[in-house]
Amino acid sequence: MRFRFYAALWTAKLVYRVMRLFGKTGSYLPGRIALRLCPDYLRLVRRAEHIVCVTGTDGKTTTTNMTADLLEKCGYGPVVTNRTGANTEPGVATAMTASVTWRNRSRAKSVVLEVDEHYVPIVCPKIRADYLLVTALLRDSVQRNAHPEYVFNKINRTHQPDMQMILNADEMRSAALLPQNKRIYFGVGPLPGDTRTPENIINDYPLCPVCEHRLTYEYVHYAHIGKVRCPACGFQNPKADILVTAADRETMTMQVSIAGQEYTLPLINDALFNIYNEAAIIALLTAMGTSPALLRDTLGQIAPPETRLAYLQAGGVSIVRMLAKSNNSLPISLLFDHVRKAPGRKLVILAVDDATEYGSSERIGWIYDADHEFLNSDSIPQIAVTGRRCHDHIVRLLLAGVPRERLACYTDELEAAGALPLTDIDTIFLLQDLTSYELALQVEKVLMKRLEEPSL
Amino acid sequence: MTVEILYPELCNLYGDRGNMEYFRRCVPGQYIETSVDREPYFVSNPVDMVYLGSMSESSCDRVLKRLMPHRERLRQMIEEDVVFLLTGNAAELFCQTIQVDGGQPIPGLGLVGLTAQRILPHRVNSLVLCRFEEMKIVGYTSRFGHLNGIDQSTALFSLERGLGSAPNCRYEGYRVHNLFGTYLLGPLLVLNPDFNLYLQRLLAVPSPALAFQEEVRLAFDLRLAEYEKKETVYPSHLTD
Repeated sequence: MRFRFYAALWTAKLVYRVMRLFGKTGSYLPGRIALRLCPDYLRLVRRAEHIVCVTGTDGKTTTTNMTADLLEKCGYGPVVTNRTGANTEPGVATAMTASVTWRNRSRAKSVVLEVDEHYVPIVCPKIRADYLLVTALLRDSVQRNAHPEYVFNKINRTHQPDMQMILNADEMRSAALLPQNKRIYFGVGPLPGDTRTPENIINDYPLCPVCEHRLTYEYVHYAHIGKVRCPACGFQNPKADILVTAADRETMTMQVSIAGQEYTLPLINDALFNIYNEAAIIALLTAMGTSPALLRDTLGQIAPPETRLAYLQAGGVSIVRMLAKSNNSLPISLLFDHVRKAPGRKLVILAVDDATEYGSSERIGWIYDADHEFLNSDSIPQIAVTGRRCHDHIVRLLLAGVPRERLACYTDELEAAGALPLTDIDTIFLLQDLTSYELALQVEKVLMKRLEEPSL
Repeated sequence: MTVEILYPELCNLYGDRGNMEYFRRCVPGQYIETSVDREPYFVSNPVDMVYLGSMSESSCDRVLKRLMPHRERLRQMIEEDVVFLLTGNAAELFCQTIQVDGGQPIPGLGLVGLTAQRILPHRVNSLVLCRFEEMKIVGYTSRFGHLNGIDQSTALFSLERGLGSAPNCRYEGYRVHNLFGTYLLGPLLVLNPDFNLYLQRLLAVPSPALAFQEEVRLAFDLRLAEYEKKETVYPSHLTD
């Protein structure tokens, strides 16, 4: 066993180095080889002092990256992480390989791992994770995740009794995960713009799990996420140990209640989903013993990764590039909501097309779960839809009531960037898919050039 | 025309709500959404069409429990040629039984002479290309089950490529009178304009029409061309 393990470790390290020499990220292959050579690899690789796993439908990569950055700043470094989102067992094995020396001695104090929901029951016990942070369990890709109940049941089979759960008190499904494990809850209190009933098309938690009565809400942030109660049996959310009570977008600060005490902490990003991500990270660091004072000094120094979110300026117009994963209706609805609530007149470029990734459009059904209705706003005079599936999106937007004259359809993204009228707008929202990041950068470049040199 | 959409708060997975959202833009009428805490409208009122969409497995149990007391009324409606459209795993509920791996079969509504088989934790995903009369039908299937026993007399669509209602089955979905059960997701009525028009004719809609016809047809033509390409991969595999 010892020989197999070291053969696996050294081969994985070598392969990683060679791949890096050739400019590859080397995030999967070294781990895959290690697991092939030594199936028990993850149990045998020396563990760091702190192992944090991050899972959930959305926000995994952002939360993992920001957690790793914050742990480094709070004295838990060196930190090793799978920053690029290689989140299946081979990806985790690659990151674990990077966390040890050639002699299998830990060279990281902390390891922060994004873990795909399906791999949680496989990976967490093997690496003896200390913490499992779950952002939320929502509707996701049909092919990969079917529906949230299926994913919940899968994660709920995880056997790692010593692992502390960091859970979203406002999302009732994931809040109920692994009830036997120690847990700490985070949440976001009532905010301006909340509603009393779910406003999104999707509500995957309409009934009380105890008595099947329809649930009622004190406030809803989005979908079924908020303060909920069953009028028949009194079933309600768990109490949040870490509660964001206010977010001030002017001063970019937020009020957070930690163990009953109020603190003013930096607000990393004002989008609601990022407020949740930040609350989750605060809950994790609190569970690890970090003081609110240290959080106050360090939170302002971290930011979401640029592949997810970027702000630019050109010719007096803002360009906001945001990751909008196709097949994933709720996060995209949150982006639509964010866009409609942003000030000024906005041009939206919807470059969301999974055709590149999967070679076909079988899952276009997800757009009927997304709230394209939010884009039906006078503050959005034009929406350009790009890619091979643009006609499907146009049908959906027409169904959402968006006037036809506001819609443009381009199969070629760069053609759209060169042709769209850029006058009389304050902000361009460029919503890119996971697979269209490079393309989005090119689109962004064309837009910047046109805005900086309007005569072109 | 009266269309009843059953339990939309539970039976709305995989974009299936798009079926009726789009259909109501094509065909004006009374669309009644019946929630799980209400008695179905069809129990004491005439309806022209009933729609039931995809749901989670635990919701299957809930929906079965709620529909079981109305089984005879449903049988009567089927025999009277009322149009039923059941998409995704809703089609399983009308079978004789739902066989669960390693467990006792769950009694279904018993309104079609087929059996359903649940294969959890395995799943199948596949593109599907079918034929219905002279039309091509496109869609996608993603499910935890199969429908067994479909033959030429009960088949809805003839399979051309992809995965049928069960492994090695040459058909997709079933039809009994005007009860249509299909695993096809899409949404079916948005992705297949001609089948949508077929249903409208069946419902005796005076002037069958499609909302946003030009765009819907463009999207269909593109998709069909892609589905018919030799190189298009039809993954029909088990996942877990």
